Amino acid sequence: MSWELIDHTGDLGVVARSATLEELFADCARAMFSILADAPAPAPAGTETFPVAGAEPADELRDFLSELLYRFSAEHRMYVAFRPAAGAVAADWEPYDEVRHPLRTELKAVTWHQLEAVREGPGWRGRVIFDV
Amino acid sequence: MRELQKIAPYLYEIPKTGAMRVPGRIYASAELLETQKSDEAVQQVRNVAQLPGIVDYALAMPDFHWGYGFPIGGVAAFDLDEGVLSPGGVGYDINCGVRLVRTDLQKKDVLPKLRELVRELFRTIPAGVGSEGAVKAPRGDDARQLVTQGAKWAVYHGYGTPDDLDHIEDGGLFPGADPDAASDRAFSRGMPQVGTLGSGNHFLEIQAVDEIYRRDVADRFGLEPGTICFSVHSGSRGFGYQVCEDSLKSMMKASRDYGVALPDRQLCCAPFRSPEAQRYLSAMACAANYAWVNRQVMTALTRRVFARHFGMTEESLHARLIYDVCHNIAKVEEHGGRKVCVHRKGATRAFGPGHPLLPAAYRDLGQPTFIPGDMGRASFLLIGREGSMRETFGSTCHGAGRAHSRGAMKRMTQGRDLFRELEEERGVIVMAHGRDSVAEEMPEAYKDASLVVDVMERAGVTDKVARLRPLGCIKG
Repeated sequence: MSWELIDHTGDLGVVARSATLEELFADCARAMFSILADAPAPAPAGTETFPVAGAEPADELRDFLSELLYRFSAEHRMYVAFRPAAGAVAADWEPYDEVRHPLRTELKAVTWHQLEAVREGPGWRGRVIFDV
Repeated sequence: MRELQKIAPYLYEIPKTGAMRVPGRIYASAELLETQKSDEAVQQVRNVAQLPGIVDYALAMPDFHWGYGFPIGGVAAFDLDEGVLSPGGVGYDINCGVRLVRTDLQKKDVLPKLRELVRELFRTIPAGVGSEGAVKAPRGDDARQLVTQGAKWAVYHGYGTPDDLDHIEDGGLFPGADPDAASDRAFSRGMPQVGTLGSGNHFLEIQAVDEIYRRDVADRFGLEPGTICFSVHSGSRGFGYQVCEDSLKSMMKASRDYGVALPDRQLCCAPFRSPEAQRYLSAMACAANYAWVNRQVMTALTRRVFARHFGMTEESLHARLIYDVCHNIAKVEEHGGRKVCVHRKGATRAFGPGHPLLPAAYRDLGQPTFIPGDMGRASFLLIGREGSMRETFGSTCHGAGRAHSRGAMKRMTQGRDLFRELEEERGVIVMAHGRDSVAEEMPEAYKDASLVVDVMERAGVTDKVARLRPLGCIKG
């Protein structure tokens, strides 16, 4: 696991260290869904692809996570796997099911607070704080 | 925090330095300041003090702690011509707030049936992550009416009585709501969640009055030792979260366009009279109205459960709403003879006696303000004093304030039977959808609310009226 959850007084965050920007996006998404709900036996029903342009990495990372959070909240899509590729992340999803996906913690939003997606050595480091 | 200067027994000042336009002021006792483990929240007060058009001071209430952008517990007023409106000064959970309802029941009547009562409430009030389904999701024109009419929409649909509306801040209606200013995403995310508690620190709690501090005021509210009350703490659910998310993006651009230097991007803002700020205000009003509907629906459902459980009619239960307050909001108000936009993020309005915006029944008393503590100790009913109008733009604290992070609480409570602890050691029956939400909200996660409300009383801002002890609590 190349990410870890971090404390923030009333909220929660994630710090990830990944080899590529696409992997950083995937790692942060995995971290976010680990906070939201469990998916012990994934059975994907579809795949969506999200572009990773890299012009403004931190903002793009936040927007990507925010989009996933919206689709989870409003469209009840449980994302169960993230596969980085060149210039994109493919995300496998299945319909949210309260029995198969025990909920853990509600996240209201993905904030800009202490937001970071920067090069570190040969790879990337990212930090995102979620509003709980 | 060495630079804090004590300027009154319960007031500390952060001197104006660097890009600060005004000083910062923190209401605290020495004991509470010791619980601030780091400087981040103080730095956030300094950051707010740098925003254009801020009036007098950037304030922090004694329950303040590190947030994002504004500190939680922050209050700031901005001039309408020179100042800004900042969604970060309101937060994602727009019009998160709390209300207190008293009943004719006494503690001795409730205790023998408490477990079943809590269980029935837990079955009736949807709670937890992404909870839905308290009422059929309003659609189309009905949804638009909900966000423009506020609590009145709920009463019209049979949730509560017209009398409730007189006991909600601003009558449960934020004027100027424009459904077209809120995105389709806000509607699709929020409408299925009407009448739901949600997760995090939100709760529905059964309480008994434990101590009376102002007999004259408590009598007016129908409170005496042993009186059973319930309180509802929730906000605008996914609707408000999405309004804030949408507006922050447009405000990032606006900050650049209007040349506002931001010490923290989460403080993004626009001049109050700009089209960007006015559009946010219209959308924020929709979310504020949604939140009042949300709390109103849950109040009505709770009354029904109480009445059914105790074999009473709702009328004979006399479950009267004492007051409903917002603690995440921005409002145009008059202070010191001028109109300003007061941002309260984790702070509560607490107007003093005689204020024309108070309901007639309470105008001579001051605004009632309910301060939830934690699941194990106590909550407090306060009343606004003249000092709040002079010193804090009519504001007081909003809760106990966090002392430990959610992660720290999960680590600290590993291996403990929290539900048993709360029941056997604190006398509180808690039902929750997840152990995590209880672990994160255990009493030791918070400062002692009594220390917080004492600071506001000794500073002349609010008086304590009554203390309430929790008996039962449902959470997400």
